[in-house]
Amino acid sequence: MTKIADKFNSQTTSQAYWRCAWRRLRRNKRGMAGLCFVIGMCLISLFSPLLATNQPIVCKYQGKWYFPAIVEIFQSRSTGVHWIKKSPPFNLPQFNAKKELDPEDLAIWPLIYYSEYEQTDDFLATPSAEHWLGTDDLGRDLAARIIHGTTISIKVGFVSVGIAAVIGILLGGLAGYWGGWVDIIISRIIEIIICFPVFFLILAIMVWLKPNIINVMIVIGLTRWTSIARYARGEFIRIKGQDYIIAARALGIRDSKIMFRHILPNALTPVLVSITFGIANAILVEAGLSWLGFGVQAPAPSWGNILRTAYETLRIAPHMMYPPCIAIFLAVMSYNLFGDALRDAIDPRLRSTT
Amino acid sequence: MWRYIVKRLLIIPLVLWVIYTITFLMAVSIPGNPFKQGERALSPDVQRAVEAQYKADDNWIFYWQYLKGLFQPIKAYRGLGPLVDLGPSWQYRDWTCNQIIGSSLPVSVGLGLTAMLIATSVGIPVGVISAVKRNSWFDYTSLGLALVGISLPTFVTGTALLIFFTIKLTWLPVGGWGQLSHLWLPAVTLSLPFMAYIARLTRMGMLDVLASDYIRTAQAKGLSQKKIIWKHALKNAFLPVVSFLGPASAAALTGSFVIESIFNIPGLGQHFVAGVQNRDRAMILGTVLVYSTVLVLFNLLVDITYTLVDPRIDVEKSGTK
Repeated sequence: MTKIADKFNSQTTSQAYWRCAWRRLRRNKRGMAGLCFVIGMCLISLFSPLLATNQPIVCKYQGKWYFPAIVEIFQSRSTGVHWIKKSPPFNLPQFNAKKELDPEDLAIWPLIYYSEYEQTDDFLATPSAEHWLGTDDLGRDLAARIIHGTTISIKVGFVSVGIAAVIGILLGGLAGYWGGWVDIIISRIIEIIICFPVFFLILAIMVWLKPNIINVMIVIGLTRWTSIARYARGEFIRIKGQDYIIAARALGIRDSKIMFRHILPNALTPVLVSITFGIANAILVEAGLSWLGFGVQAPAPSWGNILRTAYETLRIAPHMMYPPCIAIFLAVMSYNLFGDALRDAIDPRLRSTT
Repeated sequence: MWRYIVKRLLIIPLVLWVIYTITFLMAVSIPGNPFKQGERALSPDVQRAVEAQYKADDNWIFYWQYLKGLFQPIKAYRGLGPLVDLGPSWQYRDWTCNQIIGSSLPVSVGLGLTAMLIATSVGIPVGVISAVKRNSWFDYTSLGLALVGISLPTFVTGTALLIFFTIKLTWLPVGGWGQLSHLWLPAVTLSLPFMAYIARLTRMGMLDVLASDYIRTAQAKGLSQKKIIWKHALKNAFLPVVSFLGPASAAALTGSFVIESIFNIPGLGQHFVAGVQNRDRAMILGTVLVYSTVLVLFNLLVDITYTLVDPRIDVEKSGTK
């Protein structure tokens, strides 16, 4: 008897919305593979000095211990801002750790002991044990450049879509919540932005400002918020008519609090799907811009400009073509897979069938 | 319905005016102009005269003159000038923007139309079949291929196709424009991501529709499966595709700069980029306005198609809900 009662209870207790979605998401193998790959990319970009740099992770040099590669993780790379400095001999650019260290000194090297900027004598080399993916036209190790290029793709994806999400949710939310004139004005703005050739906007701003990675991120963010705003608007319109919002209003809760504390968490999931696809798109846009030479500027590595070099030296060194292609493809595909899975997980119509 | 279309048509000039103003402001804010970067420095007087001729010295006058030239029905009726005058190009001084855009727009439109034709004629049947045969090998293969199509940037697929068909197989010419054989590779490359999106959208729409009651009714009535799928179900499953087709066709028609640069095609995209790089203000405004007009018109076309395909949707009300 108690058993039946238990079963009955467990079936009727309402499950938290997010936990439900998460459970369905976890069952989707492709989506989870995508998510794992995205997390893997984040880890790679975070710990890229441990994977590829020309300084040892741990070493004993002239009786002292040094951790140059670990310090490099904490330096915000490629911007020149240094929170922690490396200890003396290792912070000098002319100090070549590979030559200075004695073989009997204890040293743990990264997986690929070349940095992304380090030029060697054999350029356009084919893959070998020394250079896993070969070298580019200046003799830089391709594997190291691909690994450090991950950082840029991750950054572009998250920062630009982060900007887009803030603008999109704010404007979409305002339009959906207030309706009336606010809605009309914001909808017209969205319409105009949609009709505006984004590529021109990016080019114009790139000519105007200096083409660097931060400007690329800002520009992509400022032009890609329209679809997020439309989803957010639709969700806010749907939710603001529900009873609990009317109750909240009757209690005299401030509008801003209703919008952000009560509506936003419930409106977030469809927006999240749009954000996921937005990230995939942003990576493609960045790669395209860098390919054209308007994005990340050399010598900083990005998958797009590695591909550009590969395209220019295609006849001599076709092996350079594959790694950046595969990297871009896998990154974009994993975001797309995760987005698909997320959409399936939160779509209420599919709940009964799967 | 007609009231709605007229209302939208009346808004179009307003939207284009806003876009024109924004573009103008941005073009003005880009430093430099093409009159100062000749091979030989002009004497100050000549320099000033040239700038005055192109109204480069006074932004305000340029703004109004250009705006006035954009729509001049009376002048065109009397045969004194074109209906839409995009002005003389600042960089290529023996050309007008009308001539440059007039020669490159048909190229981009031809390429874009072929690409969209390929994309829809392959994407929709594939989407329908994979929805009908859900979880079959065909479904999985087409889904996988669609995912690849979406995830690969066009400069990768374009380069790959170029290498394979022109260098490895030598079936097709490497680049250029003018013959039918020049059209295939860029059109296919341009169509791939659109094709993938269309197949996915059709499949999703079909899956939704096939589970609905009226399909079951049709089946119970004894209609043939073929008729149910291709006539009754596809009509409603088509809606998400339609809303995608609008902006997608506009983007395809006005040309993707990347594809044009890979295949060396004289389309609109290159003038677009060259205009920005040369600070050619007339050219920038001309290309942006052409592009925006195409986009606006296609968006309108989508909304009209929406009501034609699905009379349940009332665009007039959903616009300002």
